[in-house]
Amino acid sequence: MKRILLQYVGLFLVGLLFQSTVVPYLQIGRWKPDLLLVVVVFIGVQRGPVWGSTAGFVIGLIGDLLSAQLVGSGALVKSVAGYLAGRLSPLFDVRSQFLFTLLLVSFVHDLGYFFLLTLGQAVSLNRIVFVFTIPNVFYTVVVGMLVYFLLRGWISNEPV
Amino acid sequence: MRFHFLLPIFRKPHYLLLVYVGLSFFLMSLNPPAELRGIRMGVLALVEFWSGIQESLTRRQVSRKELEALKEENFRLQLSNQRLREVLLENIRLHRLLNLSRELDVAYVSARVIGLGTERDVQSIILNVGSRDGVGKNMPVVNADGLVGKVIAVTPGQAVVQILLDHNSLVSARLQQSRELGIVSWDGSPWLRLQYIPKSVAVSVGEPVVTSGLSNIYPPGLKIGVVVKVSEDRRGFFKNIRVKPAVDFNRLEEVFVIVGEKKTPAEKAAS
Repeated sequence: MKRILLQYVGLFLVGLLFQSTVVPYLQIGRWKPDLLLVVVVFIGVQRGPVWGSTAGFVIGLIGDLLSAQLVGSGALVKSVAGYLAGRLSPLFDVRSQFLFTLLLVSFVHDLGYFFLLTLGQAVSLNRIVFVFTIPNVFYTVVVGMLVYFLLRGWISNEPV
Repeated sequence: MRFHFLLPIFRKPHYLLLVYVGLSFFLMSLNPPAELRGIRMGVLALVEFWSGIQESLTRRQVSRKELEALKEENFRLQLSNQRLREVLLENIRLHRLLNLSRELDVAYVSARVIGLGTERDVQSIILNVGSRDGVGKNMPVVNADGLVGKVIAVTPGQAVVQILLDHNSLVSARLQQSRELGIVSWDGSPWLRLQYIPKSVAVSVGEPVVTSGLSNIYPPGLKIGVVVKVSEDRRGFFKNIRVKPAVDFNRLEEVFVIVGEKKTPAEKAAS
């Protein structure tokens, strides 16, 4: 278990490094992929909702502390995302499991995230969904699938 | 052992999620909590340190690239500046020539010096004009400073000019103030020599020497130079006078070949 935990910590650190160094260059307008969400979904898919929500909470909280955003907002949406990843992934075929889980979870995550971000501002739900959320979800899914194909062989999914 | 009461939460994922959601809302309600502020400051300090390293590395790369680009730009501008300076100097010279052409009451052909003569015995220059342009043998050549020499050979496209600094060059000259006549020649020294000025004539340093107009080649009044040294030989009848040429023969570029008297409009119409 310790080894698996270390693997996930390593995965998180690599994700954090790329998120802070590479992703800013990938940003198109207001849309950018969320590699930390990809890590949370990855853990949730492999380990289930307990690990997923815990990883989401911890990673989200660290993300909040590293950024200037409201502390707890990232923890909230990412813990939900990790839980959903663990819950939804068994519904899909193994080969397309990660893709569909990431797609659905990203949608919920980004919707919640942008909703919290624009809370108290005069931004319509349509705008949140179609302008902020959906393009960002597709961007995260595209980058997330690339990351997934690179990482799936390296991270062990043996039972804890 | 003391945390055994928490195990049911970990067994039921939705309870655990509720705990996380509750914790998240709690943190949001406290925002920014005093306890978290210290941690956040620490984390931000680390991030700032890391960003500083990244930024300094990037800046060094950028500044190296910028330096190379600026060096190239500097070189290009220097070349351009040199070219512009050449154009400016040429403009000044041509302007002076233009003024001279207005002053000269003669017909002339403007020419450019394209080389030095190859004759062993004659100090000469080569011009880019020839018989095709109306240039002929023994025509005088001047520039804005004064007399350069005379044409000694012509081809259809080029002319060879014997300059004043030649052993065979002889020019009938006159001291501008005393109007005394003499002959200007060159004996290999840095200055020209003005011969046959009697000892009785008062000659002062700085006095201009011009063409006399008595020869068939040079029109009167063309500046040859100025007197720089006057001495007397006990045994001779004449003064030894040295004349500094008005023309700098090392910097000759544009000149005029005087091809004849200027024609009046009536003469032009007749021809």
